[in-house]
Amino acid sequence: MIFNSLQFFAFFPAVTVIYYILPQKVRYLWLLAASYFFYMQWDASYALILLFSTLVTYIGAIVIQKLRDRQTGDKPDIRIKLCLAAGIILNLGILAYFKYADFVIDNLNTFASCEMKRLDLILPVGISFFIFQTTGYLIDVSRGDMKAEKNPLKYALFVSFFPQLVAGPIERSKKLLAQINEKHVFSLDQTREGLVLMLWGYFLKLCIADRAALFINTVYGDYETYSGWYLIVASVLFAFQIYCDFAGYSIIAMGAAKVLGFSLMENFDAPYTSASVAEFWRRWHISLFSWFKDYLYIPLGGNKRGTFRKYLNILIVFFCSGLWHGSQWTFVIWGLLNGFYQIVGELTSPFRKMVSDKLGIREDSIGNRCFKAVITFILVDISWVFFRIDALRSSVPVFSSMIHAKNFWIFTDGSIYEAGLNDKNFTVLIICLIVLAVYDLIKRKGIVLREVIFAQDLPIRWLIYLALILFIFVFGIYGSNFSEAGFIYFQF
Amino acid sequence: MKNRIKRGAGCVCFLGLTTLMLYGTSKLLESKKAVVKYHEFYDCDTDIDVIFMGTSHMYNSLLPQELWDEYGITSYNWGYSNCTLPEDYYILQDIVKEHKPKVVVVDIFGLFEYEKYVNGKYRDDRIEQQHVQFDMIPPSLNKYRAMNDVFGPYEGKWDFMFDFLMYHNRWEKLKEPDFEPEYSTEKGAEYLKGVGDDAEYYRAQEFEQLEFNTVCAGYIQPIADFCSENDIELLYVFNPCLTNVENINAAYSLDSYMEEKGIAYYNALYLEEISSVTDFCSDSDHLNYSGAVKYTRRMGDVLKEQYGIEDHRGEEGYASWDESYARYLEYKIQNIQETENVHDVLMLSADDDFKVNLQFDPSCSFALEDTRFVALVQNLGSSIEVIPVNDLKYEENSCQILITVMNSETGEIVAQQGYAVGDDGPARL
Repeated sequence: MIFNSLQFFAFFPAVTVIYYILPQKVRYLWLLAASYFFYMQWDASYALILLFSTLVTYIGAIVIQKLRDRQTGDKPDIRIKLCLAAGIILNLGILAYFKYADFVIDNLNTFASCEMKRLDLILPVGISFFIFQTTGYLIDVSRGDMKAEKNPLKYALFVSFFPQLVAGPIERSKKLLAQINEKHVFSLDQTREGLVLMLWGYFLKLCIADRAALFINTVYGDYETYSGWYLIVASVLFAFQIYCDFAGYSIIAMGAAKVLGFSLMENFDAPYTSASVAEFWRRWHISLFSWFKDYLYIPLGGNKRGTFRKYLNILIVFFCSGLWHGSQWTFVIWGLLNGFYQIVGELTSPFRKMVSDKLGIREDSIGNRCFKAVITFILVDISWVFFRIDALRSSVPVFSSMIHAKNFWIFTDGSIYEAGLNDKNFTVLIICLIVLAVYDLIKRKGIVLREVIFAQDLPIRWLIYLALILFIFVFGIYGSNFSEAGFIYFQF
Repeated sequence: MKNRIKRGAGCVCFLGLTTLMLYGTSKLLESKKAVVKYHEFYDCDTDIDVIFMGTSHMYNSLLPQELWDEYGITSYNWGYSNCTLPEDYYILQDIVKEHKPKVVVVDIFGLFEYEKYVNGKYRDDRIEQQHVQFDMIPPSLNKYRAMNDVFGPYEGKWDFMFDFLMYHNRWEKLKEPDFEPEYSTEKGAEYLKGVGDDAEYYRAQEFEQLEFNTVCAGYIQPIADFCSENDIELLYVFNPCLTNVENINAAYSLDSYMEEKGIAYYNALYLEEISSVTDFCSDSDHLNYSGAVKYTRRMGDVLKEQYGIEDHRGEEGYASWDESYARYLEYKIQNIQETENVHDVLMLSADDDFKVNLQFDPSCSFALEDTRFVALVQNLGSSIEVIPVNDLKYEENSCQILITVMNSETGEIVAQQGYAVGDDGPARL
């Protein structure tokens, strides 16, 4: 069941209405049942994996908590570390098995001339997300950042909470578990905010991401025919497709959670307005990168052990991030490239500052910020090509085609409108991207647009809501004329 | 508390506004094919005594307006291309809520050719046709059952319940007819305007008795049961058409099959008055207008004599049928005026509403020797006056054939076309 399906439009209102009708004490049980039902719509057997991860980390946390409670003195109990290690190995082991077993086999067969048979495992949807979420919880308990949750069903809800189960945001236990224990009262304002968030998420997903996909899939599906400038346009659009697809999902998740009285963390903060790759990674998939920062980068020493170690740690984090996204070398290269960008960015920072000073370019001038944002976008978009291609061997012909692009006439003779998106749909896409750009620029200024809307008079508010609903209804890419497009990040 | 009620009322108003807005938008965006075809059914203010259902062999072959004009029988044609018996079964259950007929006539063509969607055997080219059949039917439990039974695991089946899923992206195709649809005057039918088919209208001398154990055949009895429960007479027909051996065998095998089941069946596959020279459409195995008129008369006789369907002409309350027929007559005249082909003009004029004056140059061999031309002239019977004229002219141009079509009631000329006959045959001047 995906957010842009008829089933979800029947499921979500029903769950919400019953949730608020039930007594407070049992509401979490209802949410737990609904979350498992939601997850099992993909495949009922996936629930076993979810349950296993839940049990392992629940028991692990309880044991660690008991050991912490009995601990005397400052010397850390080695058993806590052993328990933590066992929990992490078991938990991440599930992820490793489902996600990387065939990758390892393929590489052994290719590079070590083995003849091992592939397992052809199907990756349970959302596994990368909930495994990281539970692992983070276990580490938090071992650090004493929070107490282990004793109620197994409340903990199970923390792991399986359906708005964020399959594609994040990867919530921190401190924040979400606390909310499960809180009282939630129905509030019209909260519901309104949640629904408006969901509307915006659907706009991003259905009007931008899925529309752009029609062109991108055509071009990348046959890049020998659709070469040169087709590929350049498709690659630029892919940056927006993946942003709107993923951000759209996260925002729908935030909105759905808000309706139920829960607050999820923001996962994207106008990333394409970033002036550097480092800043981009503070604004993109915030929950994942903050997870890596807190649970990998800092334990490795962060930037506290010298410059070389810092750069190595960055590469390790981005290597792991690449692998997290997928078990293919394209994702690893994507990750390493982004790590490399940050290292080079930092190394060249003094030189760039010197050049700016010499040229009299002010750091905070609009021109300078736009220039940096464009460069950052180009660098990030180059890395997205590795994200999009099916196999590493495609990277050379794809990049070569883009570098040697000569077919600029596709913009003047109308050919560009014959690659999956006609002229009318291209126009709609550009309008949507302009709206997105304005929204993100406003957001960067610290303005929360929905609060501005909520402050308007009723007729204006209603006009805006109705216009957005109508726009999605008419221009959204859904229905049988287009296959129900899943969210890109579901594959992780 | 007051504030809560106020806000609650506000939510309800907003939901109502949203619903209206989306409903209106979906009506604007939806394909108008179904609306054009069935508007007069839902708009009809009288009883409809006969409903015709089935495939294109019903859609193109039985003309309710001709049935009204010559027999005073009120009817509607719910046939459409590739419409299967499973679909007819569910459609019937919904449309009788609107107008319960005395007789339902169901075309039984395609028992072996069509399957409902089962195990991925769906034909994408039929989706649009099935939408024409189902779009006007409002969401109901019956429609939900139809959706699951007929469309099975087809991923777009929910489009039939909520057609905005299918049509919402028609925004880029909107044209004037979407804002002001021109409703069909043919009461659900559509007669075919071409003539000419080289296939033989075969009369079977013997046939192979077939077994009927297909999916489609499985709905013969359920339709019969539904009609029986609702006090509706059912007549299955095999309409005149040019078809393959399997269908010919089916048409004749059904005689005994239906007799055993006690279900009324009319094997009209071969009718003597129908000619393959004049009455079938070019590039098609379907009856054209001339053939459809003849078959409609045959069906009119059956309905009047065997089912006692009343003649409502002149009755109070049925004036709308005369008004509708007047619009239909204008439509027929327009078709004749727009037709280029000389054969088609003669074929379309084969109707009691028209008289034809045919003048031809006696030296024109085409007029005397072209088999189809001669047959079409004979087809008009006493409605045509044939006059050889030397130095024939049309609008000061020389021509070899001049056809004048007149309204048989008023004598008014409704169309006049002159043809110059060259090596490539007649060309309209």
